[in-house]
Amino acid sequence: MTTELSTVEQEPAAPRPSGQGRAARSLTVGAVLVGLVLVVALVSLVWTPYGLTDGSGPRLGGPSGEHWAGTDRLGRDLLTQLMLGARAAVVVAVSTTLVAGALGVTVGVVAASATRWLDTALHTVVDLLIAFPTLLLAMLIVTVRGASTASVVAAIGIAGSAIIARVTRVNAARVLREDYVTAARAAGTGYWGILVRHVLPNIAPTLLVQLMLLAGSAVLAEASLSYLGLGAPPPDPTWGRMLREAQSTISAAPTSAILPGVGIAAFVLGLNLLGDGIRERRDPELAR
Amino acid sequence: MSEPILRATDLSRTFATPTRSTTALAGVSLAVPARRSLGIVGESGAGKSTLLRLLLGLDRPDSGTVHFRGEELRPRDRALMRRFRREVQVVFQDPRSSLDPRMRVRDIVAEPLRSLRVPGDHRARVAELLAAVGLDPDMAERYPAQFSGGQRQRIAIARALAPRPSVLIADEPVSALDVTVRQQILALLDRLREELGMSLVMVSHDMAVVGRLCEDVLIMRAGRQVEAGPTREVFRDPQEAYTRELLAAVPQLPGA
Amino acid sequence: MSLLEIRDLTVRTADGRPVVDRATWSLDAGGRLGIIGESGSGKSLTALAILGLVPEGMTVTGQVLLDGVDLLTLPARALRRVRGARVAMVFQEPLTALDPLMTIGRQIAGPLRLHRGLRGAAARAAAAELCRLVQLPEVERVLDSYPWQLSGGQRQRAGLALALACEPDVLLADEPTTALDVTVQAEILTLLDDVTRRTGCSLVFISHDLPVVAQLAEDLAVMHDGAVVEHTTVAAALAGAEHPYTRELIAAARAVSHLPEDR
Repeated sequence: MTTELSTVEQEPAAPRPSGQGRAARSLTVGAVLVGLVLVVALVSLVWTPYGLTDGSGPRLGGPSGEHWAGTDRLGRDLLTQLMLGARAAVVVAVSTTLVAGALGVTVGVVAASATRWLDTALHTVVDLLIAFPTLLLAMLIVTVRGASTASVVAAIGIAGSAIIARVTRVNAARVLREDYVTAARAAGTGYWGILVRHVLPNIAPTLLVQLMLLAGSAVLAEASLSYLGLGAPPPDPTWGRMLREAQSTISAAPTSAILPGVGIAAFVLGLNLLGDGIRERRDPELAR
Repeated sequence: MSEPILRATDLSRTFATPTRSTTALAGVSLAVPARRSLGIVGESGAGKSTLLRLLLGLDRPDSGTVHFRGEELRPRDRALMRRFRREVQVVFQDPRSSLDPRMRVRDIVAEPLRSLRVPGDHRARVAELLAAVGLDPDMAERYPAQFSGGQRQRIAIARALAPRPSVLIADEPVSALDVTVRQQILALLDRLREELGMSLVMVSHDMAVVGRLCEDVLIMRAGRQVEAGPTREVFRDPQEAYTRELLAAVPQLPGA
Repeated sequence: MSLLEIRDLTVRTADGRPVVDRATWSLDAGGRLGIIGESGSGKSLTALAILGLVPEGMTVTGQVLLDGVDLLTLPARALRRVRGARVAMVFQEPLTALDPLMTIGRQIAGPLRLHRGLRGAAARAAAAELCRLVQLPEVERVLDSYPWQLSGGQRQRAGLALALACEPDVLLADEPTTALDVTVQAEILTLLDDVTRRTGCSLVFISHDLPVVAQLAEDLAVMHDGAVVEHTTVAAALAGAEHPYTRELIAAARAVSHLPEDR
């Protein structure tokens, strides 16, 4: 009889994906962009070229030796505002992702393991929330709580949680149907054990990608809300509000509009590339 | 005769969706005595999977009961279920999907030990189990994807044996495997059953596999039991037309 | 000259690994060849390579000679005339091989129109005739049914009807009964036997299940790791095969498929 260990069943290997190169590129570029923004944000915690309210510079001055990015209408240094704006963007990205993640995963998991009517009820709510314009939601919250970073985070976080909930629900339901979960139940593992040991680890990769992409749209959403005046009030600078303030003076001092725009674009692009890169590395065939 | 370890009486289960209802099981009874092997044979739609889930306490019957060592199975009774699961374990059909792809083999095999709070050194037990199914204990650090189908099925068997069950339920344990590997896994199951004194309940659509491993057989069709009895007798002298039809349909190699 | 012959047929993956390795066998007109192998042996890919249907990224070299003409050298248009008309294929899972959005009648009418130029009532009559050939009951109802409305066995019969629509010279059957219940399998095997004899169609039957192959095939090609390790007759192999892998396969099949009591 053949030795048991030497038995080989060949499972034909899939052709090696050419997406790996693309994944690596996405990840690198994305990481660089996001990293840049993070570094600037971190640096702003300990140092900025000028104080925020320091209006000592020339009005609407272009880039110069003293003010690398120029100055705004009130003579305040733009580079300082850019750096603080970066910090605001990072805070928004991280906190909205945390809120959306915590809320969305909880709702999604409950829906996936719930009885049919509860599941239907939950995913109807989720679908409604997805359809509901984030902007309107933000305005509602701002009306109640006043414009602030917290209001923005709440609005975007809640809106984003709906998408996370949907993705979580679908994937968690899929995992719960797998044989290995049935096997775990037969092995005596209880509901929480299955959730923590089997469901969450298996949906984590997909979730991670979604969260990265969500972070990108959160930054964009925050910029839009700030631009509309619904975000953090002055003097805290955000890139969105910098755009709004630069609007009327754009022909006189183009950098005051271009630079925050570039900042937003770079951060959002970086986050999206990171998300795409992670997805391509994990599922190269899906990405094609 | 002593009480069988596992006994199903008159089990019925119907699945209802908004559009239609399917009767998966209608009044099936069976008994699994200690140290005996029972094969449950049927084609698709016979109700084998449903019966299996009921026997494992993973689903509740619409009517009828499952008794474990004389006690009725109540999924809400945690202590009872823990005792039950320590003694009744299962091996599933598809070795690709019955192991969590994100867990290491040692955690997979140790899961019943953890969940059922089996005392003792889990590490050592895992090594012992892997060796018992013919795998190198050093492979415990690996992930399922690094193993072939036959090896993964061995891991699944090791997991099932972890809490030292008295009944091993196997759902088409070799159907998804290549034929050369099939023979090895069947031999393994046979040997382990002998050595560990377990009862074996094997669900299969394959009469030949059941014939090789099971002392008793239960033939099912469309949720009902058609014929039951010692395998040798049923195969040699089938009473029901359906049983005869099943036996006639199995392709045989000439010159066997 | 044999009807279908493959010579040194090699299929490589994108990074050069051969999943079919210089496979060589021949099939005479009216003959029946069984290709047996386990998973990963390359048996299905061989059939796909014959029809030019290998997945993207894989390369095919060697020769596939149909009546002396190398199919691998044919331009796409000429190859399309061969596919379905002269060489047809039946797949393992009829649910995925049949278009779920088309009725059976429409699906069978497809090749009828393409290769035989039949339309309308003539096509439907021909489709009905094919359904009767494969012993589908209630032919009119089946023609108007969608695949999901039929049972597994009926779907496989429909798949067979589809393959036979243009009276091909060679039928490639890739594990056609693997997904079926054992009683249905027995019926389909009998059907294949009957139909190929009546139409004079040659058969290449691919399977991992030796007893099934042994029922239908006369010749046998054993594949392992992409290579044809033995090419002989079924009878000769069972009496005493030459290659050790074949012997191992036969021994395992005997052990696993043997019913304990003779009847």
